[in-house]
This record gives sequence, structure tokens and C-alpha cells, in this order.
Amino acid sequence: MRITDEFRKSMNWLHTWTGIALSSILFAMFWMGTLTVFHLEINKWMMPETRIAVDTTMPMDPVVMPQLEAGTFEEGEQVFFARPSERMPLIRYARFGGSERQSHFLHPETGEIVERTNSHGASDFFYPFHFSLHISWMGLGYWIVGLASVAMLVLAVSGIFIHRKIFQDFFSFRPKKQARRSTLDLHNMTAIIALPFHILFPLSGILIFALVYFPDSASVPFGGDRAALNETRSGFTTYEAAGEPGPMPQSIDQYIDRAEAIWTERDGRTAHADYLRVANVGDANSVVTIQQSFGPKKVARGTDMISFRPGTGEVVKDFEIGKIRHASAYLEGAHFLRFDSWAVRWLFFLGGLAGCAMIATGLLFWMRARIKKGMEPTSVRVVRALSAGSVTGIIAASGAFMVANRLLTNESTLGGLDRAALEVAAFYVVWLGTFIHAGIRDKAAWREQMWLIAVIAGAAPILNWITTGGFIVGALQPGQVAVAMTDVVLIAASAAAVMGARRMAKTEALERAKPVRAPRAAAAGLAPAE
Amino acid sequence: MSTMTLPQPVERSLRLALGTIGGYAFANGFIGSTGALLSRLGLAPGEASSIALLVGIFVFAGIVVWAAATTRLLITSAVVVGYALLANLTAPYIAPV
Repeated sequence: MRITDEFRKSMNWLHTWTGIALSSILFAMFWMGTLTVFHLEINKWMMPETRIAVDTTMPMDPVVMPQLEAGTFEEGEQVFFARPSERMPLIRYARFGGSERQSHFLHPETGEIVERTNSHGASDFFYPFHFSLHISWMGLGYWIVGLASVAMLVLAVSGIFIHRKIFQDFFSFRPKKQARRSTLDLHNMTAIIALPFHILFPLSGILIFALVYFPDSASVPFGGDRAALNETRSGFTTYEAAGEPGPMPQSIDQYIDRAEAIWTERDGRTAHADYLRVANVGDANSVVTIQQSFGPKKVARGTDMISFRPGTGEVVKDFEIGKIRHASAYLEGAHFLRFDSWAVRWLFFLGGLAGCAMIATGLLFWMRARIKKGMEPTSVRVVRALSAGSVTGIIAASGAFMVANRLLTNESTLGGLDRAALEVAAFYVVWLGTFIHAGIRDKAAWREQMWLIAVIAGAAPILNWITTGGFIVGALQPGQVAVAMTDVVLIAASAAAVMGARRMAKTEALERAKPVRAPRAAAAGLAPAE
Repeated sequence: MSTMTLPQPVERSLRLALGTIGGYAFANGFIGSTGALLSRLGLAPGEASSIALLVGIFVFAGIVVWAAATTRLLITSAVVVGYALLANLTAPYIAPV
């Protein structure tokens, strides 16, 4: 197929305007998604009670059995346990399906309920932000993120077509050239180097929430039966209570061992169950389900689940999925990144940062091109304020969320808000403040907000040291490495922000010194569409 | 109606609307009808649904690109809207259940 200039032009305006319209949302998704790569490590930083080392192969019976034996369960109620891991050493215990939902964290050694830091942490704030934007009204957040994800795929495709010399762009970064040129170089380079991530993240993200976006059409092969579709995809079966007493499980560990042996033999690699469920405890139709949702040696997620009948040990259900569904589960598992590979986790983190850099430089380039072309100053100011708040503002706000966590105590309240709500409020107040600041400070906004990031990211490790005594070298003990690494990344972020601010100051000074001149005719693919 | 007579902002708005709204409807119809057809041909419903979803996402993105690039906006609109209507309406009748 020959790519005509007409086609390239149409891809140019599609790339430019889709990027501008959705860049704020895309940056929020990429930034929060990047933080989510290490959400459990940030949790450790924000919740000191989770900074413990744990034996992940520890028997579960000493913790699980007392809960099952001591509890009084309602008909249809289910009990759920998440086994401890290196990244999340506490055991999650939840009861649902009854009149009251309960959720606690148990200490892996004592089995006692751990009094937790009253915080959403990264797992309940950064994590859901990247796929729902915390907009719950009619599921609107999911739809906005879904649309932005499709837009990201479109941006990737149109971006490829725009470039006449894609391989040359790959190797071109000229930081000494004028700001507009080096910004575009950086945009192209981060886009091309991290292209697999720019396609994988949105594609797998849409797949994870596919049943939100296409609930009816996906269930057509099941005759429109959504419950059947859900059961086929997830493997979850609802077991109704018989209403008659039945045997209690004598041991959960025996089922874990059996399930892991089956999966290990089936896959040819060591399996490790992560979730346990007991439906209808003490009922004749009680079922114990063992899951390997995120296997340490397996990328595909949610593929392994075996249910046993307590007493007889009979296998009630052995969930298996087909090859095509497995391919989809593989992509979804790659997005969740719960398999045991720190190298890949860091690679994803860098891929996410590359995505953030790509979006930010795309915005900067667009603005610099517009200023040269004499666009209305008010329009430029509006876009600049929005983009500064969307890029540097959300980074500063994320840091403020973490700083607030270290400054507040569980007893802190203000205006009826508890600690967890105050941390979230700190995020939104700082974020909103950055938009207002950007509106007032115009050209200086990006640079000044870089300094704000530098201060916040620099203060966070010091506050961590003061409030918990853990600081890099001291934190390099079992169970605390994640805290040390979080501190190191915060210090690196602070240093990067200082460098960014200084570079921007230099660029501003050069721009002020230069006389304003008419723009040269832009080469195709170099300047954004009008 | 010729697209040449439309002001550029209107034409581009139409293209984006066709790409997003039309693209979603097209992809939704594609997922339903392809899943139903594959299921009718003997593929397990879960597998049919999975492959239709996987391909459907690319189809959606493809329609957005097509709507932006087409030189015959009216014909493209007719194809996108026509297929979306046809596929969404007939998919349940193709399914074997």
C-alpha cells in the first residue's frame, strides 16, 4: 500500500487533535499506572505495619482454621483469604455474601487482626485512579478511560504513519538544538522506544474491562446469558447453601497442596496458590476453592482454580480455559504484572515513565509550535495552564498524598474528614492549586511546579525517616527493601525535577533573548496540523 | 452532500463522531456477530467471545483511523453505520443458543 501525502496529513491532524484533547486523561492514566507498578511497595512505605518479612510457603491452617471454627456464618456467606507474599506480607481475610461485609488483615505469624494505618495507600488510590479516575457516577470513569485507551491505540498507529523516517527518529535526540526541536526529538524517541508498551497497556486494559464496554455483544455466543459468560471467563461458580449441616474442612493446607501439585504437573512449573475461598461454611454444600490467580511463574492470570468438597475431598470443579481465552488472559496478566520478575516490573515502570514523557513532550511541542504561529495568547494560556496542571500538577499532587500520609496520624481529623480522607484531600487540593497557579503564572508554571515536585519528593523520604526511623541504609533489611527503594526513587524524582526546572529556566532565558520571527514552512510530519 | 462543501471544523467533527460513536457501534456489532458466527461454526462460546473481543478492539481503532483518513466520508459513513445496524440487529439470531 502506498502512503499518500493526503493520508499522512489526515493522520497528522488525527494524531495532533486526539492527543491534545485527551492528553490530560492519558497522562493521568499513564502516571497513575506507572505508580501502580509498585503499588504494593508504596503501600509498605505508607503503612509501616506491613514492613515485615514473611515466609510465603508458611502453612495457612494456623491462621485460617481458627477463623473458620470460631466464626458464625450466615447462609450463603463466603470466606476469603489471600495468602501472604513478599510484596504483601499480611493475610487478607474477608467475609461477603452475608448481611455485613467484613475485611481485615491478619498477621501471618499470630493470626491476629492487624490495626492498619487508616490510609487508602497506593492500592486503593493510585491503582483505581488509573482505570476509573475515581469517577464512579454511572461507571463514567471506566468509559472515559476506555475511550482514552482506544485513542492511545489510534495515536500509536497514526504516529507511526506520520513519520517518514521512523528509524532515523529512533536514534535522533539533539538536546543542544533549539527547545522545539529537542522536545519533538524526545517525543519521537520515547514514543518509538516504548512503542510495545504504548500498545500493550491500552489493549490489555480494554481487555480487562471488556465486559464493561461490550457486555451484550460479548454474551451473544451464550444466548445473551451474562452470568454464563462471567462464569466461563472467571471460573467462579455460585454454590447455593443446602440448608443442612455438613462437615467442616479439617485442613486447608491439604487442598492447597493438592491444587498446587495438579497445576505444577499440568504446566510443568512450580505453582503457588494465592487465594482461598470457602463457600457455605459448615453446610452440606460447602465448597473449598483454591486459586492461582497470579502465579509467580505464570504471566496469564485467572487460569487456575480447583474446588473441593470438605470431608470427602472430592474435586467439585477443575476450571480450565481454552487456548484463545488463554491468549487474552496472558495479555491481561501482563498488564497486572503480578508474576515474579523484578526486571520486568522495572521495565514496565520505565515504559510507563516513557509514556508520561511522550505525552508531556507532545504537549510542550504543540504549545511551542502554536506560540510561534501566533495563536491567540488566551488560548495558549488556557492550554498551558491545563497541561501544567495535568502533567507537573498531578505529579506534585501524588507526592503531596504521600507526604500527607507521613504528616498525619490515625487520630487526625479536620472538618469531619479522617486521616484517609485528608490524604486524598491533600492530593486534590494540591492538584487544583497547580491548575490555578498555572493560570496565574503562565510560562513560569511548568518550571515552578517542577521545583514544587523537587521539594515534595525530597521531603517525603525525610518525613519517612523521622516518623518511622526507616531510611535507605537502615531500611535495607528483610521486608523493608521496598521502603528503601521507594525512598531512592523519591530522591531520584526530586533530582530529576531540579534538572528539569533548571533546563526550563535556561530555555525560557534563551526564548526571551531571541527576537520574534515568522515561522518557516514546516516540513510534513514535523509540525502539528492546524 | 459532498464533504468538500463542509467547513473544515465541521468535517473533522463529523469524522471524529463517526470514528468514536460509529466505531463503537461497529465494534459492538462485530464482536456480537463474529462471536455468534464462530460459535455457530462449532467454537466454544467462551473462545468465540474471547477472539471476537480481541479482534473487535483493533476493529474499533481501525474505524477511527478510517473515518479520519477516508476521502469519501459519505460512503464510509454508510458502510460503518449500515454494518453496525445490521450486525447488532442480526447477531442474536446467528448465535446457536
